[in-house]
Formats: sequence, C-alpha cells, structure tokens
Amino acid sequence: MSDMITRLDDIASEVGVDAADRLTTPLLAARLAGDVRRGVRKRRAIAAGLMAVIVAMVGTAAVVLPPLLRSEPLAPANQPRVPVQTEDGLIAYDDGSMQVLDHRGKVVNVPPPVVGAPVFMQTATPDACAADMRDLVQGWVPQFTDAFSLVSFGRPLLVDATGYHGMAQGQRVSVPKSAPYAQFAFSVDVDPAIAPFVVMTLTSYAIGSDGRVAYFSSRLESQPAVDYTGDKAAGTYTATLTTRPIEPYYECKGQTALDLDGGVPHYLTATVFLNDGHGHLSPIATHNSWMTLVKEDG
Amino acid sequence: MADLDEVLAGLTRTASARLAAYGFILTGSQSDAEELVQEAIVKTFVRRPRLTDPAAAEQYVRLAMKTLVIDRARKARRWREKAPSLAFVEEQAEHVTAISQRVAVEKALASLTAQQRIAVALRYWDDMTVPEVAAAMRLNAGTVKRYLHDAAAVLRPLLGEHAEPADDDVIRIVNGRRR
Repeated sequence: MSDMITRLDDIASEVGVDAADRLTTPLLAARLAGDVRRGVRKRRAIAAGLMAVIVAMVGTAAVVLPPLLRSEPLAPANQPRVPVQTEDGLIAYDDGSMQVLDHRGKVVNVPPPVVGAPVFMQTATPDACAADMRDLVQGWVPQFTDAFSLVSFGRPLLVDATGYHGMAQGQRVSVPKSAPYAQFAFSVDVDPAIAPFVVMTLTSYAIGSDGRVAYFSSRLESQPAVDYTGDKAAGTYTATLTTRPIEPYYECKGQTALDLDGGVPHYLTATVFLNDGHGHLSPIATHNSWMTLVKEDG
Repeated sequence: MADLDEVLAGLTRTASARLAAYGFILTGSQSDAEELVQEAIVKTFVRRPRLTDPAAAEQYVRLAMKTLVIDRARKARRWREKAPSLAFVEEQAEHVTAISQRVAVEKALASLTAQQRIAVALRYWDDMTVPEVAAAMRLNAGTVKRYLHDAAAVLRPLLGEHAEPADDDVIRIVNGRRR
C-alpha cells in the first residue's frame, strides 16, 4: 500500500508542478485578488444589510413591544344605562337621561342634566331678589342639542279681566291705574307626543327704578292647559301648553320702589321640563322675555 | 487588503504545486485541481482578508479545498437520491490505453467516485484515521473502509510494487468495481 501511495504522490506532485506553472502567473494572481476583493465587498455588504435589518427589527421591537407587553389596567367599561321608568313614549334612565318618542315616531335623546341646569322648583327669595337681569339671554336657551325638536314657539302672555293676550318681546303695555295689577302667563308649542309629560317653572321679576328686582313671583306649573291644533298629515300638528297666571308677587326687602308712572320692566323666565310623573324630570329649554307695564290714567 | 496581491502571489509561488497535487488526488483531474485551488484561495481570503502568513494560508486553503469537494460530493449524492429517474450516468471508465503511467493513473483516479478519492486523500495525504475520515465525510467508518478498499483495488494494478498491470487487467478491475 505504501508503494502505491508513494507512487501516487509522485504522480500527484508531477501534476502539481505542471499546474503550478499556470497558478503562479501574474494574470491569475490579479484575477484571484479581484475575486477576493469582490467577495469581501459582497460579504461586507451582506453583513451590513443584515446588521441594518437587525437594528431595524430591534428598533421596531423596542417601539412596538413595550406597549404590547405592558399590562395596562383595563379601563372600566361604560356601565350601560338602565331604564328605571317607562311611561308611554317616555323612558327614564338611571343616569338621569331620558328618551322620548315624538309624534312622528322619532326617538329624541335627552341627556342627563348638567351641573347648574334648571331644576323643577320655585325660585328662592334670595336668589330671585339677587338676580341680575343682564345675565338673562333673551329667547330660548336650549338644554341639549335636540331640544328644539320638542319645543318650538314660546310666548309671554298678559292676563287681564278679558283673558290672555300674547305679547311681543319688549312690548310696552299700558293698563289703567284703576285696573288690578296685570298678571303674566306663558304658553309654549311642544311636540304633541310629549305634551302629557311637560311641566314648567315660571318666574316673573318686576324691576325697580334702580334696575334691581323689586318684586318677584314664582310658580310651578305641573298641569298646563293643552290645546292640540293643526293637522298631522299637513305637518302642522302642534300642542300648545299654557300656564296659569303667575301670582302672587313678593317684595324684595330694601329694594327700590317701582316706577309705576314711568313704566315697570317685567322679566319672565319659563323653563320647560319633561316629567314622567314618577319623580324623573329633565329640563328641555328656558325662555326669557321682557315687557314694560305702564299704569296710565283712564 | 493592501497586501493582498503580495500575499496571494507568495502563496501561489510557494504552495501552488502542493495544493494542486492535493487537488489532483481529490478530483482526479489536473484541470479540476487547478479550478479547485483557485476557488479555495478565493473562499479562504474572502473569509479571512487579513491572512498574511503563507503557511497558515496554505493550511486554510487545503481545508477549503477539502470542504468544497466534500460538499460537492454530498450534493451530488443527494441529487442522485432525490432524482433517480434522471438516470444519473457516471463517467464510464474507458479502456485504459495509457501511453504513460501518469495518464493511466489520471484515468484510474477519474474512474473513482468522488467519495473514494476524498477518502484516499484524507486517509493518506492528510494522515487522518478512518474514524476521522468518516467524521469529516459524515459517513460510517465501514463505508470509508469500503471506499478505501475499492480505490486501492483500482489503483493497485497501476501503482503496486508488482508488475505493471496489463490493459486487460485494468479493464477487468475497473469493470469489476462496477459489478
């Protein structure tokens, strides 16, 4: 065996010497060097690419993973509101909100009253006497977005011996000095479907010569008169609610007297509420109006 | 990288004959040996561009040559296993009509399978034991022994210490290996 290998080695060496002549040419060495340089560049490019990919993956993971891995406390789910009272087309919920079906079958959502919203109660004397009429916004002040799908026109009324008289905003009204002091009321057009559920508060302010409240009257109207008019088919079907006259007036002690001859400004504030009859009420809108009452001879 | 040309020139000048001889044993062909040496040099210096010691470089190139040949043989064997229907045809041994012993030995080496040549190279040129050869080739030791035995059976008539083998003997032996 050793002879065989020795002789094979001799032949291989002979072949190697022949091959070396071709392997040692400068041209081949240059080509090998070029191949090596290209290979090194390619290898470095691949390594750089891989490194870039790794860096990108690590960077992405650093951004993406922490929020995924963080065990954030679960936000409490919004508790679904629960109906506490259903009365025909009016549903009262435990969070103070309501849903009411108008006469066209549309559901109107009434949100829970916000802090400071009107409440269904008479105005307390200190509050009434300290009221500043400059804070009143003339006309309607809705309590939620869809309020005007439930109420439309509101109008102050003058009540005398002959009945109810509608008045315009800021109207100057003359009454004989011999006549009893005029009273005010309020009427409002509402969606007919909600008419049975509407209650109102009414507060009237008589302003003294110094601009402060001299007298006031406040009342709750839980059963306004209802008058249905119009035609459903024509889209004019309306319920008009009218309060009783507001009385009596209370004096604000220490305030200035009324200027009966020059005219007494009166402000009337009416707030319309939804009432399911079971203690659940929500304000819809407040209407503010003013007129001047003048006692004249005659 | 600046000294690469110099290192390569030094390596080929001092070691190319030995490397080519080793490649000849591995491939059974002078041209294949030259190709193998060049490929191994490129592979070695791409991975180790700062290699400057010619002796160490020669060892790395020899290692690369061995790895390349073993990988090729393994891939060829897998290919034959995966695609038997393609009727892989090994190069048939021609009648050895050698005009010289070198040509006859080249023919005989070429008639060996790649695995047989590698086993011979590792066993007798790299002085590896049979288990080491088996581990390097990822084969059983028994398989390596069979490769060595079959290779010796082909080469002994040409290189043995007894009489030069007759052409008829060579034909018989080569054909016998294929039986």
